[in-house]
Amino acid sequence: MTEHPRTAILTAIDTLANDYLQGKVKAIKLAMICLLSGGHLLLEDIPGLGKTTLALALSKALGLSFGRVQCTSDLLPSDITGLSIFDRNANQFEFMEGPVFNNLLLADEINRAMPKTQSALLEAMEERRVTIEGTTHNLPDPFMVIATQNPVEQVGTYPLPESQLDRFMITTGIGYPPETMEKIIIQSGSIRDSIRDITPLISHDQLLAARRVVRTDIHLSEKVTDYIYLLVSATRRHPMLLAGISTRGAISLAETARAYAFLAERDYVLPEDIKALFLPVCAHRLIPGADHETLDCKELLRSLLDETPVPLA
Amino acid sequence: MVRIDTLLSLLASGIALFGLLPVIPYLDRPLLLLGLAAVVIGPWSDRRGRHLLGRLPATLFAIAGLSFYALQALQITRDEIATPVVHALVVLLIVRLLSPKESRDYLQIFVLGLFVLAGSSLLNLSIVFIIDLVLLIFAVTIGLVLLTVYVTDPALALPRQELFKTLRVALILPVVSLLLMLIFFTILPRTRHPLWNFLNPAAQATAGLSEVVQPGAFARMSSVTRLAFRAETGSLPPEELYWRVLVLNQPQGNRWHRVDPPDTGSSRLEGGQLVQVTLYPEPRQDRSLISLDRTMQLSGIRHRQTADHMFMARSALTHRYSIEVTARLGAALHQLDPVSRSFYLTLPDQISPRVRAVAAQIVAQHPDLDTRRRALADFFRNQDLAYAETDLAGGDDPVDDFLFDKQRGYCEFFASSYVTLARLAGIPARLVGGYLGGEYNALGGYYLVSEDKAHVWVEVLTANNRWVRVDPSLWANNASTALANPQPTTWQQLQRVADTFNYYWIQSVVIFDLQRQIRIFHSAGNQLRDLNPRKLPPVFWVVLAGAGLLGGSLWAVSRRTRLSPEARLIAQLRRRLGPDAAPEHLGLNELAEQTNSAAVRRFAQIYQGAIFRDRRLTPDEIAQLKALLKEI
Repeated sequence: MTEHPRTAILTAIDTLANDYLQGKVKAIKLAMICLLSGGHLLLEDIPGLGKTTLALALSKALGLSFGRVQCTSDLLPSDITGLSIFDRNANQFEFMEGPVFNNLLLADEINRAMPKTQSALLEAMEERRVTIEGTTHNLPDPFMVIATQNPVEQVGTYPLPESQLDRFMITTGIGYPPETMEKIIIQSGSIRDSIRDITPLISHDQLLAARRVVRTDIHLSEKVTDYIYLLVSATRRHPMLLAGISTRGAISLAETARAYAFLAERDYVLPEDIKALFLPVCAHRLIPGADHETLDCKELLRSLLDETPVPLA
Repeated sequence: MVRIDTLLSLLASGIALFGLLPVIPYLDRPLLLLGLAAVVIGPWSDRRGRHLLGRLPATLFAIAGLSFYALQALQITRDEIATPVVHALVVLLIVRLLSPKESRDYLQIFVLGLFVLAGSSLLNLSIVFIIDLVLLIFAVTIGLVLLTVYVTDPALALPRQELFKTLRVALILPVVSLLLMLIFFTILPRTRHPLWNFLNPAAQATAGLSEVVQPGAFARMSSVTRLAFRAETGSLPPEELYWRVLVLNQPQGNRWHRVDPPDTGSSRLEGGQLVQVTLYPEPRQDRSLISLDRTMQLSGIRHRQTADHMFMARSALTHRYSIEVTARLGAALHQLDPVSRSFYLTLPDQISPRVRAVAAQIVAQHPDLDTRRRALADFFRNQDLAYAETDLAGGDDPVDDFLFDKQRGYCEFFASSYVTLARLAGIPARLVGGYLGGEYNALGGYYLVSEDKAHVWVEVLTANNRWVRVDPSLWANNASTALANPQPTTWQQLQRVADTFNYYWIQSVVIFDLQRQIRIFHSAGNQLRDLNPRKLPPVFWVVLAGAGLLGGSLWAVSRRTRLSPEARLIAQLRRRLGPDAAPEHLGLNELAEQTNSAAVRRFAQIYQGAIFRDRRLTPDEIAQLKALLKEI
């Protein structure tokens, strides 16, 4: 197979965006970037805008196994990771894999799970393996968690602490589709059923090859590194913020930018790539100062982008 | 193709010549000729590859020359040590020019050339020095650059273009060092003395103006055209140009010399035309200062004024200086208190009966001092005396011999005879030494007075106590031709032009010393303090704007050269798009999208493809980008 891994992925994105998930190109792209750079995605939006559909379609189109957890306050860690069950016939405990043993895990309404469950999931996300009763089980590769949370509803939720938010590579919303698009969707009804029929557009190997290309073949120049540093240090100095972007945040920015450049059919990262990803990658990592609890972090980052000169020469 | 060694050998000759030029007047004639010959023969024999002196003869010649001048230096006084040293250096220079040359020989020639030039500053400070120094700096730096090439391959030849490129680079060094020289010149303290002569002032021959008047001491007088002083002023009537220096008042045998006169109280100048003169005298031994007959005020040097209206410097005048003189031309000096008549009536020991008879006759015929003076003038006119510098009167009584036998002589005869006769006739009189006339240099606006303009005249006291000037030499039958300035020949006119440059050199460079530096800073400070922007002439603003423009463009150029080609391209792009359309926080792709221009998009593609892969733009890409910039 001589075809560049990128071609298949771009075709997949196109197909998804045009045929199944109209008006969600941005979210699809971000999800793909997240997958390519080996991170996890947090979708923040009200219910009913197609979060689950997105995750499902993605897994189908990419030929990935899909697991789903609906988080509630009584969800136990073992409901996610899996548990050992005694097999009478074999006379021994058999490990039943939980939904986490899928390439794609959709954790719906993650802020409704109790902190213990949340942290178990986040640990799995970070370590990419689960240790249950002394045995360590590696999670499949690729492994990506798409968590959703409803930003509006606050009753009976356990908001994710900042330290755990930092583990999500990208946070994004989906937003309402454009008017014409929504009318079409209203007319044709839910597409949940047709999604089941999506045939994989990318092979598992192609996906892994694409991830390798992103990691090794995309050039991140010194100038762009300088630019990332400029932006990051600007958040750290900002008087309205208690804490700016961590080094992990900066690394995430660089890695997602590589994936972005990959999708844009370039083998080098542009400052524009950084700009495009600065908000989704960094907004959720900021901790506003005590007097600025209501601060709109995205707006702040946008103003930083407008103040920071792009290094061109 | 130009061969480097040919160029070097020509440069070496040039450097030797520039070194020799300022010491030419001080060199022995044979050595001078040998030196000039070596300058010509050197390159010629280098070209032919055959030299007059081999290695061994060259060494022997050098040793012989050095020992000769070393012996000479031992024999003569230490005042004159500079001359043998310069001679020895010239010998070494000649030897190097005439013998086969390697790179170190060229270096030696460069160094010797500089040393000879430096040696010349021990002897004098003339304008030739600075011209030669500039030429030498250029020649030596270019020579050194060529030498570095020569060392790698002595037979190397460069194409003309390459050579010019090399020379252009080589020229930067001397230009920069000359600029630095200019800055240091205004800042650093300096000497106005030729270095060696300053330490050991040489006894200068007092030809021209002398401190005693002794008619008949020489059978003939040789005229010395050495410069005495320059006087900056407008053109003045020639009959009033009496430059007053010395007053001689007492006889001693046949000589007249100076004795400090008794204090005669206060005096006052009457009448006359007010003039301002700035004098630039050549260094001289004596402390008496040159002034214009009747000087009211003299400044620029510490001095005292004697009772007979002479100006004496308080310290020795071996350095160059300038004095400003305010004078009244043709004024009479009114002595307000009674003058000691007996002091100005002292007679020489020996006076011939013929002279006494003339005086006695005048006294008998005219009771009044003023009419006696007129009668004395008539006597001089009737004697039909000639102004001459050869076949002069002499003997025991030169005055008698001059008046009645030879009837020819120069100013000293006229003046001393007149003073003798006047004193015999009871008229107080004194001799005044100085200079008469001078060549006016209209180009520079100054009088050039040489030593052969030295003159002696007389001042007599009138009945109403006023000293007036009497010049008996004017009564010579040939006074109009002998004392007048001859029409300048073309050569002299050329010399005058050359002298103008020398004059400006002395005025602006040699005289420029610590005091002047302080004065400049002081006056600059004062002017700044009193500065009123509204009163400044428009020229000032034009010059200021010009300087600002120049500085700005220089700054822009330096900025341009400091920027990398990439930065320059980006700057040009921003300028093309306009400052508002291309804010700094936008990337190139964003700019392309914003302007929706294919050229910008293409520009972004090429530029980013290089820069964000961490490589420099190739010249080809730069050319493409520049072409795109023109489209935008």
